Amino acid sequence: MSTPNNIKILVAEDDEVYGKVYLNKLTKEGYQVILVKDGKEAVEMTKKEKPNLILLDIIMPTMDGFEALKIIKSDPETKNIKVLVMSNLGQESDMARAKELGAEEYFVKASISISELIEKLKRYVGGV
Amino acid sequence: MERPKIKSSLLTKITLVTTLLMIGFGLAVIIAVGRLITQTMEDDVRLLVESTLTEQSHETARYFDMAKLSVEAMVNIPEISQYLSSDEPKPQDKKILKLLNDYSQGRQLSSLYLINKAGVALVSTDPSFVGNDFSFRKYVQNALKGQSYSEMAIGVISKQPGLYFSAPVKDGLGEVIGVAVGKLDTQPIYANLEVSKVVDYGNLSLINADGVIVHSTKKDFVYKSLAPLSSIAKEEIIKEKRYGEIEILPLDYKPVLDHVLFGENKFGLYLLYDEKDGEEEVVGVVKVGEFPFYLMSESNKEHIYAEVKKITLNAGSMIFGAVILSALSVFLYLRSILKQLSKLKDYAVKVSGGSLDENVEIRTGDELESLAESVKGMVQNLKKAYSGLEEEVGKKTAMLSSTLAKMEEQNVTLEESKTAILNVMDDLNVEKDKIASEKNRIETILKSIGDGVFVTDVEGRVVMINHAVEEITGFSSEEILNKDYKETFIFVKEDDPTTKYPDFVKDAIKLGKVKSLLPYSMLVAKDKRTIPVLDSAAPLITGEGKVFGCVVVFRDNTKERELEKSKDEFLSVASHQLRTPLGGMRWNLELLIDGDYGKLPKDLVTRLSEIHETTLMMISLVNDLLNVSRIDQGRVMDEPVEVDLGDLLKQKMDELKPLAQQEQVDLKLTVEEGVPKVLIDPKRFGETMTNLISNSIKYHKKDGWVRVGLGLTKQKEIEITIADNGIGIPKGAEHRLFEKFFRADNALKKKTEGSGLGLYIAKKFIDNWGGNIRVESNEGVGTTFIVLLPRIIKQLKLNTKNVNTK
Repeated sequence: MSTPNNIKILVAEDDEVYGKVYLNKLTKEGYQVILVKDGKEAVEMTKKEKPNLILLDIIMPTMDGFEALKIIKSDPETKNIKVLVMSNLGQESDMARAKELGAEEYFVKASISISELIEKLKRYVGGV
Repeated sequence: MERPKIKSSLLTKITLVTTLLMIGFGLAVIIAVGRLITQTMEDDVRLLVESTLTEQSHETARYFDMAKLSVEAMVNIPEISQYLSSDEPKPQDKKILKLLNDYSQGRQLSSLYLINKAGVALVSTDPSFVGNDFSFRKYVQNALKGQSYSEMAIGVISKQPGLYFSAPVKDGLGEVIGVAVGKLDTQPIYANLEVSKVVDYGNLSLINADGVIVHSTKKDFVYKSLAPLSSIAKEEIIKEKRYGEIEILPLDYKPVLDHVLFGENKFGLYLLYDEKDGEEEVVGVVKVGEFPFYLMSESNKEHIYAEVKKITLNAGSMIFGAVILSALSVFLYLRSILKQLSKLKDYAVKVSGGSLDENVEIRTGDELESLAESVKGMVQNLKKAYSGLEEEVGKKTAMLSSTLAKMEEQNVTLEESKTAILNVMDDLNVEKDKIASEKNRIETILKSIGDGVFVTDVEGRVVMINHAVEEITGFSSEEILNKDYKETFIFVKEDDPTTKYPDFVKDAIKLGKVKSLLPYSMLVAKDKRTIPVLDSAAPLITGEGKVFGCVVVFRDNTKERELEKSKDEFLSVASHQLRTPLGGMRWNLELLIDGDYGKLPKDLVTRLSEIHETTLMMISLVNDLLNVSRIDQGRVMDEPVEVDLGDLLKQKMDELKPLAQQEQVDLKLTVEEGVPKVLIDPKRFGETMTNLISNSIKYHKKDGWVRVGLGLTKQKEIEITIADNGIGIPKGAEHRLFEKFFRADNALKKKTEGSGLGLYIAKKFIDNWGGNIRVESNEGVGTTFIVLLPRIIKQLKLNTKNVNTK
């Protein structure tokens, strides 16, 4: 893998099954993965670690993804970090809301293969 | 009979009017005459000044001419030229002096002298000139250059202004050897000026080329310049000692100076205002022949106009006298006429009082007399009419009595008819009672309806409401009735409360058809609460088909709305909960298949791939189910962009290439030219097309092909055809093809996957875009789907916003 391993990807995902897949696949692709389990942690770690990209779930305990996205996008320190929303919610209104709040893209997890996701992700952070 | 009192007599009125008119007319005449006289006088003055001045200038010029000619002729006398060309001419040579004295006799020259080339006077009839150097004088300088010259200058010795004429004296070879100078005898010209006619009104002055007055009938004008001299002129004057030691002071006659310096030698007339005495001066100026001199007359305007005033005043008083005289005669004449009229009036008053035997005598021999005769004639006729009247009254009274008797008979008949009518009225009252009870029944029904009902007239004014209306809106019937329905029934859209709501009652009345409210409408109650309502307006139509009002029924829709909302939330949550484990399964299977968890045996990978396939099927089933439910509810929103359908079809078919290769089906796209770009949601349209094309690929036979075509119909609709030579659709199944969960028997045999929702969803979207889809098929031969789309695609709009964001 020629991906520079200084690329940090923050994954906010409370479901362990998905969490493991992200960790396994992204690490294998050569990225540094920071896995958090709720929106609050996502906001804190984003501010602290300044990741190159954020994969953000919506339905999470403590603070949901919309709220976290809002905070990240309104903080001048973190607002330029690109966010891909990864959720199993699929309503138009959810997608529209995420875009309004500043997410780059919105993927329904069940409707995208893991290899497709890696490909999309590479468009934002590079890597082969 | 009351007679109106006479407020002011006719005599006074007419006299007053006539007098006023005459005075007005008189004044106008006076003003006009005054104007005319002024104009004429002005012209006269101008003419007088111009002619006098011109004549004066001619005379003066003639005098100057003679003087000039005398000097110019003198230089031809051979003795003079001999004398000046001699080696050493003797000053005051006796012979030459005598010659000069003789020559000046009878001519206009007061002195005559000869000057040598150096500018020194050698011989002069005025001995005081001899030996003086005159070379600084212009008349000497110019003559020495060969030109005759005339000039005014102040005498060096006499200190008096003089007019000098010079001419060059030449020898036999034409060389200038000296100058002959004649000083003008000004006495005759000045005397002439004194007696000029213009002097009667003012004064007359002689002006030189500098604009300086050298002689004037008004003594203190002499040596005054018309206006301040320019600095150049001043310098020159001082250098030439033209005015000796005299200081030249300016008069305020700038236009005249300009005329002298730059005028075209024509006569000029100016009106100048003298600030010192506040008077206006009429000033005329004209050049003296070809000489650098000018004559200027100056007259006081007041002086001239005094005459005008006098004449106008005389004329005015005469006209005024005439007016008074006329008014007086009008008064006297009218009085005599009106006296007769007054007699006639007295007569008329007496006649109208009843004394028809009165008489009047008017002998004026005019219209008044004939008027009096006519009035008398009328009185006579009146007398005759009176006597006939009494007889007539007797006759009429008799007729009236007989008529009354007839009416008495008719009255009896009427009485009978009245009884008959009363009977009919009784019957009518029974009918009325029936109608009243019917009305009561309707009102009772209305009251007991749980929905709000209100009735309007054709203007939209509320004429009837039921109790439910008061309960739902909070308004009382007094607040609602007899007002426009829009004043109390305020409808808004749930997701867009600011937009103006359509006047659906007016529409129903206008169109004569039932109109429904927009979906998701809200009614604003008196306390500003918004109540979700379902609503429709129906026109009230008479038997003849005339609309006479409108009935509106609305229902509090809160419960249904809430139910719908919770259904939506349930769907959203359910799909999330279903997708979560399926997605997890999918990703893990993908990692397993890709060998991310370690390399697996080939047959295990094949098994896992099959499970993966099935998982994908389940996911797509969940998605389809959700889609169907949302489409059914009308909760899908398009995101249209301008799309080239040909490009989009090509892209979608490229994506399907792997599937086609796998199934060994030949895939081809034909795009006709001229298909316009359309506004459509590319994702949804792409999905629909992928759905249809992949269907055609899946249900193939051996050597299968799928042909996709894009073109326009004759009606210029967009037409997409998806044709295949696959298994086809059994007879009778075509019309059920687009139903939910329907799958044809032969399709079930061929492929077991497939939810039976794809075509349903495709049709739903196409229908919503304003198009349609149909199918033509022969079982075992092939199938063609034909999709028609309008050129302007209808867009799906979300009915409510943010139904579920969590």
